Amino acid sequence: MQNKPLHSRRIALLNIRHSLTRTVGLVLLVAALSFVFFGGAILVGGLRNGLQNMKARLGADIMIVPVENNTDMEAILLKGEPSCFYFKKTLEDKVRNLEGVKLCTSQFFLTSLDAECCDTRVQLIGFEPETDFSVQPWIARVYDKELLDGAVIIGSDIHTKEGEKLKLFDMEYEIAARLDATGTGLDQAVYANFATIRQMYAAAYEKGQRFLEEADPDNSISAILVRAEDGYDRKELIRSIRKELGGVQVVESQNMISKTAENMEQIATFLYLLAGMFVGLAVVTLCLVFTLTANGRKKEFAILRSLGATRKTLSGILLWESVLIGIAGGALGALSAAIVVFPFHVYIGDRLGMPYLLPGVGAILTVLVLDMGVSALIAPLSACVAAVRISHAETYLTFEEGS
Amino acid sequence: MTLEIKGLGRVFVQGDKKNWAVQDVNLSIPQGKFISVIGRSGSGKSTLLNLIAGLLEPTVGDIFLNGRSIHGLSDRQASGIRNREIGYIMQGRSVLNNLTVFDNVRLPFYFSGREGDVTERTRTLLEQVGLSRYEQVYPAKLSGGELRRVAIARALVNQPGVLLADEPTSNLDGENTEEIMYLFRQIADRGTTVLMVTHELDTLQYGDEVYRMEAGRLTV
Repeated sequence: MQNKPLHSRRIALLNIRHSLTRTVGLVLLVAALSFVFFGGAILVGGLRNGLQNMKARLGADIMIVPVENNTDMEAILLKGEPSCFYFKKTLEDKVRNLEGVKLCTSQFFLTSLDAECCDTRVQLIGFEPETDFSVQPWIARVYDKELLDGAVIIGSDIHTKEGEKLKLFDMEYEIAARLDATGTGLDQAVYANFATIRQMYAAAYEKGQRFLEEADPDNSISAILVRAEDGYDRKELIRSIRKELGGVQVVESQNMISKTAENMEQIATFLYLLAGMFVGLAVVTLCLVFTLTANGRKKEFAILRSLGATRKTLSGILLWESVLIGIAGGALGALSAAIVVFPFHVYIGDRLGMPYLLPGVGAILTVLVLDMGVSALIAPLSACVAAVRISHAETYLTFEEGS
Repeated sequence: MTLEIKGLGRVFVQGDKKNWAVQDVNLSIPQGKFISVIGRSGSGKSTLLNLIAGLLEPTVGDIFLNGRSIHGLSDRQASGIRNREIGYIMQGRSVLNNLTVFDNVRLPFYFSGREGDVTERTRTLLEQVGLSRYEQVYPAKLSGGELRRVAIARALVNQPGVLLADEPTSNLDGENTEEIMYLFRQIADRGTTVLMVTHELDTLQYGDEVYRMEAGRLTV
């Protein structure tokens, strides 16, 4: 240990190690900045990622659902609140024949019983394999075969009790695959073809579960999904749908996404402002602390000068101290933010009521590198004033003041 | 190493007032001589040493080490001379509290830019000043006399030709003063030029010559 060369970096390290109170204070200040920066960036990244996935996963430009049950597609999509509602299947053909409709398909919704198969109630979504354009492209990414009758695809947040089988209404269904996470309510959904979902409906009916009052399930659907012709005016198409069908709610995906995006931007702006404030506050405070402590260390610097240290060496020692403090603070802040953000990301998404999906490892590492860079730079930047003052001061005079 | 000072002066300006802290100092010290400068506080003794060490720029005059002027050098050059050719013991408690005794002593070697290991030399110096057992001790645990001896060992680590000592025995008891003055005598006898400023008459007997400093002027 004692034979290590005493260059500027080592002297700086020994200085910060032995001035523990000063070091801890400065490290905590940088850590607070790093916490906000890293935590905020991961949070915003997660929201952006979730929104992007939601956009991609929806697939449809327009969704049509019954109006009378106060149906809330947003709650299903964003929060994963299971819900079911129905209208006549004949409406689907009416929509398909409208001008401007490129693709049209329907879905049939059920909800599982409480804690029957999974930790909570889940949304069961049946799709028509021949016409579907919304679910199957995503299924194809994880399961490249035809989804057979009696098999289901589950969302990433479905935690089954019995391994590869999913028990619903006392019947078991084979789990063909698990979809990738989206950060939306769709992660808590189970997908099956129409034949399977009707099996589920029949089993539920046997158990006394009445999803439909009188209507025939074969002629009922829960939602119609529409993709408009390229370049066709969507507002015009929505007007046509409203004119053609009565008692329906027409939801434009873009509107829902815009609203979510707007909320997300507000949160992002708030976080950026907070991070900006912290950066400003940290720079001013660090600058003051470095200048004040440098004033109190005049004798120390005078001794170093008397031993032959150049002015550049003195500045170097001070800057190294600040870099080491910056790195320690940056790492501590990022670690603290990671402890809060990573284990609780699902809860955070739920509380924000927005699609939230942790960014990938690459994006997280990029944020970490940026955060460490900002933390490691902000401290020496703040120490610059003190370093310049020291390097210009007349050592003898500073020594006299110091002593 | 010979130390020669010619017409040296330094003025400090405060507002309209000019104060000559050192004026018209002429001195020539041959190698291995131990010179004492006595004077009261504020007489300009410390300023004189700071000028010789290159920590202050003279207003007039020049300083020569082995016939080479050290005036008007860049910070890097002046620091290099201070590091390699001059050992400077500053007034008061002049050790670094964050470094052990061992690190304090070997520190100047690393400012010299030279490669190598200075462990053996550091140990030898600590032995010479009687502090071998305190190698890994921090200065806070040492007495005033021990701290001065650390500073002396440190000033000698780069084997300088000139040793400058500013009040090296102030606030020390008689026994410690005697030990330190004996060390200086030994250093001079080994060929290092020693210039000590002091206000303590008891220490003058160890030097070869004594000068008096009064109002910035040096007299025999």
